Formats: sequence, C-alpha cells, structure tokens
Amino acid sequence: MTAVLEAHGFGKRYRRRTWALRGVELVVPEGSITALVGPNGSGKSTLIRSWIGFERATEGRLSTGGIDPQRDRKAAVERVGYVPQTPSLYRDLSVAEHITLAGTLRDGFDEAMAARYVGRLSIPLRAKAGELSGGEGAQVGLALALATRAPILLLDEPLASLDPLARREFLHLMVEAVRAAGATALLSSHVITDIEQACDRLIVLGKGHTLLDLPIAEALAHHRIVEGPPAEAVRLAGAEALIGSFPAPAGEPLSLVRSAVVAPLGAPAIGRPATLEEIVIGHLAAGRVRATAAAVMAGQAA
Amino acid sequence: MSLRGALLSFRIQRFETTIIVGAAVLSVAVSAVVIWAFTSSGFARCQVDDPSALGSLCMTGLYPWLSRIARLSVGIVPIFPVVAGLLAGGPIVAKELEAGTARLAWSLGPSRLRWLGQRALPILLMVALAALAIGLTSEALMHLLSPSIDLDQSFAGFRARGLLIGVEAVLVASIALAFGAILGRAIPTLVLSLILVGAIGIAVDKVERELLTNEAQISAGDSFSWDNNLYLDGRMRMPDGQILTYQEMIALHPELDYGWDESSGISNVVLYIPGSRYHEVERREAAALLVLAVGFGALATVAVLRRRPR
Repeated sequence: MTAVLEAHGFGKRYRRRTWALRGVELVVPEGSITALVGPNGSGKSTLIRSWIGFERATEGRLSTGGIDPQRDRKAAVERVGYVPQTPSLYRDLSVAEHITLAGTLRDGFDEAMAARYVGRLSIPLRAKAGELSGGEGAQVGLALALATRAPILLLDEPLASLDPLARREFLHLMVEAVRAAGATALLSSHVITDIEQACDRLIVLGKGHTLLDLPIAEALAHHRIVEGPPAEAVRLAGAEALIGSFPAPAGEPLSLVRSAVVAPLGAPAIGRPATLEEIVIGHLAAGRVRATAAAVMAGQAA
Repeated sequence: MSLRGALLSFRIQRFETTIIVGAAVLSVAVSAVVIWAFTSSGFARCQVDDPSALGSLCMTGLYPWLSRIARLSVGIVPIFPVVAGLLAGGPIVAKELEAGTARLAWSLGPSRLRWLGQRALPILLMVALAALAIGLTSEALMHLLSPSIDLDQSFAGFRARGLLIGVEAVLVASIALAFGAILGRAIPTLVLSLILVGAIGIAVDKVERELLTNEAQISAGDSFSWDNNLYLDGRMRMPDGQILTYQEMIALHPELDYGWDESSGISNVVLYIPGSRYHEVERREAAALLVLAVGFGALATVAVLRRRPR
C-alpha cells in the first residue's frame, strides 16, 4: 500500500492554548476514496488545511504525496485539488471567468475539462458566481479542483450546504472523475449515508485524535450492535469488546461491540450488524468518554 | 503575468477600477475642454494682461467660471493619489482574505508570488497611469492659469503636478497593499494606511527639507522672489556674515531677545532652492518614494507568502 497522505504524531495548537489536534496517526492509501468523519471541532478542517500547507503543524509531521507541506508548500499545492467547505468564489466573476482565472494561476489546468464538468451539471458558464446557489457554487468548486488534474483531491465538508439531489450529483461526479484519473480523494463530511456509497475507507476523528481508521467493508464486518445498556453488552460480549454506548432514536440504548472479539471461530454472533452511522457514533461516544476520563484524571493529578 | 490575468484582476476590482479610471478620464476631459475654451476664446489673454483693460472678454460669465473650474481642478489634485492609492491598493489582498477567495486562488495556484504579481501589478500600473494623467493635466492647467511662469524652472505647484502625483499614488497603493496583506480586513486596512500615509508624508517632507537646507542658496529677505523658488526657512545674517536661526542668535546674544536696530548689521535672509533645480528635486523625491513603494511591496509579498487564508 502506497500512502499519499500521512500524518505522524501530528498536532496543531491555536493561540498557544487550544489543541485542535494532537497525536494524529493516519495514512490514506493511494487510489482510495477516504471519508474523514468527526463532530464539529474535531479538527477535520485543520488536518485538511494542513495537508495543503494552509496551516503549520505545532508538532509531528505530515506528508502530501511524499512532500512535507510545511517545507515545500508550493509542491504540496501542485499535488492537490482542494474544495473548501464554502465555495468562496468571486461574486462578480462568471463561471467561465473562474475557469480562465484558474488557467492563469496553474500550469496544466485543463480549462476544457472544467467547462465540460460545469456543463454536465447544467450550470451556465456565463452565470455570475454571486447568482449561483450554494450547491452550484460547490459544484463549480469541484469542477475547478478536478480540472487541476491533481493526483490528490481534498474535500472539506463540501456537502454541508447541499440538498440531497445536489449531494448525489456532486458525489457522482467526484467518484467518477477520481476513479477515471486513478486519483486519491479524502472527503470530510457529516452525512454518513452518502459516504457509505461514495467512499471505500473510513477515518473517524474525535477530540483531536484518530478514533478509527479502516476500510469501510472491514469496519462493517467487524462491528455489531447490542440493543441494551452497556452492562448488557459487557455481559454478552465481554468488557474488552465494548466500544461505546449511545442513545437510540427511541427505546433502549445501543452498544457498539467488536465482532471479532464477540464471535471467535464461527461461534454464533450476538446482536445485529452495525450500520456505518452506528459505527461512527459508537466510536465518537467512546472517544468522548475517554476524553472526559482523561480530563478528570488530569484534573486530579493537578 | 498574462493579459488574461491582468484583465481578470481589473474585473475582480471592477468597482475601484471604474471609480479611479472614471475620475481620471473625467478630469482629463474637463481640463481639455477648459484648455480648449481658454485658447479658442482668447481667454488666455485675461491671465497675462489686465482683465479690466480687456473689457467684456474677461468680464463675461464664461471666463470666471472656466477660471474657477481650472483652479478647483488644480486644487484637488494632491488628494487624488491618496484616495486612488487607498481605493486601489487596500482591497487587493484584504478583500480576498475577507471574502475567502484567497483560499480558492491559493489552492488553485501553487505560486502565491505569481498570484500576487497577477493581482497587484495591473492595479498598481492602472493607478500610476491614472494619477500621472491627472498630474500632467494639472501641469497643463497651471500653465494656463499662470502663463508667465516657466513650470520647468519653477517650484510653483510643487507636489501638485507632474510625475510626483503618479509616484505618490503608487506609494499609497503599496502601503495599503501591505497593510491589507498583514491585517486581512478591508476597513482597518484603509484607516491604518491613511494614518501611515499621513505620517510618511510628514516624514518625507521633514527629511527632504533638511536635505535641501544643506544645499540651499541664501537671499536677502526683502529681495526674495516667491514666484519660482522653493522657500525653505528664514535665518538671521550676523554682522560677521554668520547665518544663524533665530534661536541660535538668541542663545549667542541673549540681549537681542529684546530687539535690535538697523545699525546693528543684523538682517533677515531666506534659504531657498532656485526654480532651475525643480526637475532635479522632483526626480530625487520620486526616486525616494519609489524605493519606499518597493519596500512596502516586498512587505506585502512576505505577508502573502507567510499567512494562512481564512
């Protein structure tokens, strides 16, 4: 497995106080479409912005296509197509002028490809960015990023402001383009259902740490849900198997357990298969408990 | 820097470009009309001869109006480089950081230096040309209003005409560009730039006066010609030929604080730069302002290379 995005012991602290991320260890393999999931403030945007050289690491190191973005930001940006959370287009420029602008800023930018993608999404090239909806703006941002023909695509919650249909169109275009180019994509998002269809790998960030880093198929195969309080899950699966508990929309709480521990050597599985959303929520709940415990212990030590 | 990139830079700052170019075109057009009306109607004679002797020509409704417009146009010229420079230079980086478009541009273009060049150079060139046009127009109007003065040999309208107007505009735009890159906010950029422009204006004037004082010529106070020369300061000539400031004279001869009579041999003199040195002084000041502008451009570049987009 060749890694195109790496973080080793990476930490980012703002204003000498708050750690946005600390001790992050993760690797994004070449050719994958990886989902980066986590609650608000978990450091997803910070990590993505750091890979493109927009943030400087406080500790640890990063690699973007084999380049340290802190030492050689220019080379890192050359390897990346970036779509930010808000499209941030020039309000007074038309879509066609955005494509021209990108062509003047980046050698090798494929203006014809960008125009083709925009056309496929039925966005008029003459439309001004200020007149586009949030979804159309995001799609123009994606078209620009794809037309850079960069081997790495970083998408920082681009789906947040899109309606369901626009989300589908966005993901369809992204997956198709990334697969066709043999590129690697990292997509941070809150919308788990869309991720499940578009991505093949899942990274969960919580409280500034990596909570889970697995291929999605493996994650689905290795997690199960026990309906009931944590004590019930511990009774059935053992304390080591319990990952985290969280409230169900209605009824008994749910507990996420590791199925490899629960059902060794073909023993009958307990509970039911976990959905990707439940896996993410279970790990986030566990991360919150660990963070709270660490804070309590740190307080006692102080 | 490509032509397409330059044109897009003007499109991105369409509002500022329209105002600056519009003001320059309007000023040049109005001045051209005034100059044409003056010369074609024979009003130019009113400026040199005794207007009352020329009778109705100089007393008609048009002449006083044209004269007033010309004087007003010349009067507002020194403001133009400040307003145009702030308006053009401030938003180049500050507005992009504020709106988040810098994030898009810096992720599309690996070289921020290339981006800054493409974004800033056309705007700086535009503001320089617009201000230069106004400076030259101002010179033409001054020539119209004071035809007896040889403007190539005169400090009349110093810093309100010619080359210096263009250079001043570039310096102000560079200061605003640098502040915009450091602060990343448009309004604070304009306010702080305006304060710094004022401070630099005072500092440049002070340094230049000190420099020129060392090169100054001396004229008796009562025979000094104010028309073409640049007045620097008044001094006292002592009976032994020493040239002293009033304070120096009083320090040496405290009794003179109560006055002196004509028989004492003390006289007032004036330090001045003769009008013949106008272009030399103008070019030297322009070069100094350009060096400052390059310095602020370098500061803006460092800020753009180091900062993180919002």
